[in-house]
Amino acid sequence: MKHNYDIRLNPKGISKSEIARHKDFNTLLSKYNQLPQKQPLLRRIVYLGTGIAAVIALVFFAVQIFNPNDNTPTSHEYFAAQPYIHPPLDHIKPNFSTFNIDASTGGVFENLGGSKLTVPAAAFVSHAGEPVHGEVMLHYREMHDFVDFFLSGIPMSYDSAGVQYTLESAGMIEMFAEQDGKRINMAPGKSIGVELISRVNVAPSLGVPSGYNIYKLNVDKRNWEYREIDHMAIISEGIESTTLNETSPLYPARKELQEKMKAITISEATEMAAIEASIPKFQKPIQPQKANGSKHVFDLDFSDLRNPNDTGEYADAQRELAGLYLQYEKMLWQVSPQSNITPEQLKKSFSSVTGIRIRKLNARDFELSLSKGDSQLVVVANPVLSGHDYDKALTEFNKELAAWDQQNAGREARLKTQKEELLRKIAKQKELANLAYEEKLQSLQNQGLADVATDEIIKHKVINRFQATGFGIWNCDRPLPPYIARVKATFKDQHNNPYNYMTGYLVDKSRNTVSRMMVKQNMTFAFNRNSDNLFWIITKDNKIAVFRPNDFKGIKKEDDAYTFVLDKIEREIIDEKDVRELLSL
Amino acid sequence: MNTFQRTVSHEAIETEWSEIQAAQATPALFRPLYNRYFEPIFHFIYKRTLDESLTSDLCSQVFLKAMQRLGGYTFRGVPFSAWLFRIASNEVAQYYRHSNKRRVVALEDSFITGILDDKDESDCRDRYRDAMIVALDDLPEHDLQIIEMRFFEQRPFKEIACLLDITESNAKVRTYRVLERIKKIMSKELGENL
Repeated sequence: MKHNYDIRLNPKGISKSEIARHKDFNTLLSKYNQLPQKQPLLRRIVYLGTGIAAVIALVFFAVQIFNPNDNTPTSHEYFAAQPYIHPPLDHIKPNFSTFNIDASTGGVFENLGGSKLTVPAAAFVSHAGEPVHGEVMLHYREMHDFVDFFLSGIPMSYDSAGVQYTLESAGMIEMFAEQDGKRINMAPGKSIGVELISRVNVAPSLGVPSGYNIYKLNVDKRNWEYREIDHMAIISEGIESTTLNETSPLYPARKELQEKMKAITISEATEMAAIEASIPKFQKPIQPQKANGSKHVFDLDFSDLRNPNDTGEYADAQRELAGLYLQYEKMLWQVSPQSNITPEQLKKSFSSVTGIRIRKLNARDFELSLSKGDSQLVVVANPVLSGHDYDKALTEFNKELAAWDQQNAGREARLKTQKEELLRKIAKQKELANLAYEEKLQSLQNQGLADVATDEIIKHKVINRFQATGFGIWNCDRPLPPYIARVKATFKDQHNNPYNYMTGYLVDKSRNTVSRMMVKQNMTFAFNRNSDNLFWIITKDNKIAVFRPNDFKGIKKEDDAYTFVLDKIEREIIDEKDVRELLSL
Repeated sequence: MNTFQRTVSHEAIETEWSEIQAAQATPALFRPLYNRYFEPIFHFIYKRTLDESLTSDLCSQVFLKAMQRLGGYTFRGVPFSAWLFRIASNEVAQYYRHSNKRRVVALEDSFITGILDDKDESDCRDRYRDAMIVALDDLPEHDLQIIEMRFFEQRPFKEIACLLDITESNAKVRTYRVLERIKKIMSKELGENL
């Protein structure tokens, strides 16, 4: 025998699961992308520059033009071949906030933006389903605008019974928990209460925008799943405290509204004060204070305090104290903590004092000025009682308090009608101011400046409330109808390099979302003609090629076809700040 | 015996051709083809290496080359799988050429009966097996391939023809000739006519 081969008898086979362990298309694709790419066949042919090649190329192009959809992937196929969550710029990593939680007790956690997470006790289990105890790290991040959505790679499309919608978001969150570096799950039946602070597009005159629901991303099924209605509430900020953009065409109208609102607010405060003053407030009785044995307490005879020559606040204080001295057998004084004086110093001062003046500082404290020649010592103290005197004072206080409550209620009842009338009047004034502003907006829209008007009415601060029953990605959003304006589009950059079979991103300023599409030549491109639009592509060398709002204005209503010449920006994209600079809308 | 998922019907080939064209335009669209053929290609290589780790490396190399060469792939009525198996076969051959290792042949007892037309008497099995090993060891690589494909992997002649880029009748003739050669060597080893 020659032993040409290594012949093995009845070798051990290999199972499907063993083979599956080696299956990894993403790694393969990554390796492929790192390889130096050969010029596509078409380009090589063109470079040859021969007549035959030109003819072949012409034939090829003719076929492409007359059969644009032949043998090309559909958008669905294109995205189906990609990971469902596909961040376009891998090197820009999301920033998570981390909360340390005692798994046994849970807790309430608030992030810098004001959003709140309420984690119940015993909310976590291990992968094996065992309860988790001890410290748990909850990682949390929020996504609020189109740049956040774009960088996350989370699709904003929603398939409902085969119909594709784009989801407009009022805020999206992602959260997961770990213990000792291992992911853990939420316990069955438990949920984390989420109060997500965000901003939504809404006209000033409207209330809570409708149609927002809570969806959870199901990565396995590659779709969003409806969970519940979004319990959204607008957080009133008031235009009075808003900084206006002086360069905006709407500035005069906004400024007028702001000034009207400020005047209304001042008027409300003035008139409310006048109503309050129309019936004097009754003085609330002060609860007597019991002498505290651990503090400096001293005795002072009223004759030492009385000075018939004093006027003003000094005379008032003497009158009040005269009543107290008459009422109680033993008036005492307790030194306030703010008087930095020892009992010895106090005793010494009183022994050689030549004059005492007293005035009231607040409802409880008095200021005693002790003088000796040119020197003066100030002591802050308050009257206190002890024993029978205190009991008597307390009984009296309770009677006075009951009477005060009754008097106060009667006063409020008499003022109620006036206050309600004032609030109605103020509300009417605000409504009229808003209506006048709305009319100005309408006027702008009638002048064809609808996009400007839209610009001015977006972004109201809201709070979205829902229960997250599991970790992952949750979205407060609503499905949007498709864009109406359509054009047959081809795409290239300023150097005439065509863009084909790449992912394009489109936003319009009136919608808080980003639409994703497969870019190919002669495709139908839909957009919002009444808003500012921004379209961009991430090129193969990780640069941004952008078609800006002003460029969109060049697409005329009568255009059936349009070549989008994108501005490829030869700038390295390092971080999110770079993306925001390049994709300003 | 693993049954491979083969794309053989005309309709399936046409469908697959559109997938290939999509992948030619966008490499990421190669994923469905990869998913379809990863297991058959892995099996194909594993049978010729019996080394899981080596097979994984070679398999990855096969698909990488397939993606690189996909732009030049044109549809000529031959299943895409055949094109992939050819790359895999070349990759295995290249590995053995460069490593100076002996090519692994996975021989199962059931194959012996398949080759020898029902000569499965248990008392003679060991003798037949030894003779078969001598005969296989004597075959040149291209003949061994035919035997592997036809009897070890139970591929139809049509597919073998596609894989080896020969006609179906040529595949049949070559298989017949290799079988005759095996029988001749085995007869000599056994001292009896088979």
